[in-house]
Amino acid sequence: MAKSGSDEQLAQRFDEEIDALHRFAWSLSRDAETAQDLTQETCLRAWRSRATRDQGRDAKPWLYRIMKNLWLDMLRERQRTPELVEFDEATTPTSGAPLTPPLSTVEDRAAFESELDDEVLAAINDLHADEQVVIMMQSMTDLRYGEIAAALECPVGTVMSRLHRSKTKLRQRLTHYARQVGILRSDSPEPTAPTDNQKASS
Amino acid sequence: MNPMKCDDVNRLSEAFLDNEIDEVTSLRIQHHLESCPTCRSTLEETRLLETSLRRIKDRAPPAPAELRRAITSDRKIVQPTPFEFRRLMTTFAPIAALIAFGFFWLSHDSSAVLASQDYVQAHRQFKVAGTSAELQSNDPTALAQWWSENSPKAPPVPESPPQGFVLQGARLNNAEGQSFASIEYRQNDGEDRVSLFWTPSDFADMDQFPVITAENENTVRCGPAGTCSVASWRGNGGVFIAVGNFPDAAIVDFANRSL
Repeated sequence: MAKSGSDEQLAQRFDEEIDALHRFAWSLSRDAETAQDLTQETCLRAWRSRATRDQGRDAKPWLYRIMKNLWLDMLRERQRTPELVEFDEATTPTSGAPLTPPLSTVEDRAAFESELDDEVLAAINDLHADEQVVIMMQSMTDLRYGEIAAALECPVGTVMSRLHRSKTKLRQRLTHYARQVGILRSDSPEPTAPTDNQKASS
Repeated sequence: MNPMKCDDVNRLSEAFLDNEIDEVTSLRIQHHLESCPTCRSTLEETRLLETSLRRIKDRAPPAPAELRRAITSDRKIVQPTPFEFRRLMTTFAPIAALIAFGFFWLSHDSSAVLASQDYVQAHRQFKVAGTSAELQSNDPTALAQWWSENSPKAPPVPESPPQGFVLQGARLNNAEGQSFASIEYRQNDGEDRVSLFWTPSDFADMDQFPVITAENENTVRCGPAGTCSVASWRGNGGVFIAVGNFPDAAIVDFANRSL
């Protein structure tokens, strides 16, 4: 059966987005196998339901919405059945890793950056699942705020406030870490925690 | 131009760095930053975070070639699912479905001849959707008891796992209106896992798989399917299907040790 024009466009979208989708999946799960499963299942579900998709809208946010929902379902399922075996443990960074020595003694900048990145990943692990999704959707893909809003089905202002709230938490954690390793003085100001009623809009 | 307050600059700092705000607001933020060391410091911290996130993005792996091939393959074989049917499938919890419709397993329908891709697809869907009942146990007796209570025709549980593998438990999964029962193993010294299915009916594409090795009058056939490897062999009056996330050679090794 010949593929329709919209099918070909969707297939092309898959090909264009597959790397970014996989990176997004990996960033959420930190597990190679789960990332592949999530990516493949996302594409499979999208392909199955292509007939019911709004053809007038870009497929890109829709793909990320499917993946986000799959991931949150997976997390909910894991929380709902804690007594069951987890065959596919995610490999998460070690948050209790020994701290690096003060920066003045660190000669290998790459190693320091790697530790800093691990600290960021550990901090992301401590965020709420919705916050992790918005952070990773913005950081691991090329989605603009408007596209993230479409994927999350919320206003752009909500995306901005969620990003601000999540990144402030990460920044607080990083600042604390930076003090521990000696790249920030202990009397430097703490980042300001956002309040729940703060709404970002320009 | 109205001066901007520190709270506003702080609130918009991420959007500012992401070039997601309008030009006028951006100019007002820049104007504020010129005279506010506190906000400059905060912005630098945010920039440090953004730089770290970009490095993490660079570390994140792109889609492997086999995943691309699998997705292309899915596109060729999968037809659109009618909306109402899809909604029903996702609404029904697997266990509720099992109770409502009775335990339906492949063995109940001898005409159900599935292909390796069906098992691989089910294997993946169970993990992603979590639509499964699982029992964690390394005790074959406990697993056999669980099978007898939940699925009248399930894969026989060997008294001891294949050499080099650890018994992890059992799964009863529901996907696409089919229920699949599997025994779960993990490698002793690795992270690789394998799900062992069994069906009394024939296995659609078994004969298409190349014969890798033959021992004990059994024929082990192996073929890649999607992102997993599949081996199948005849036994217990039916066909065993092993789906693993490791290379063909390893799944054949598992099969040989299971014979």
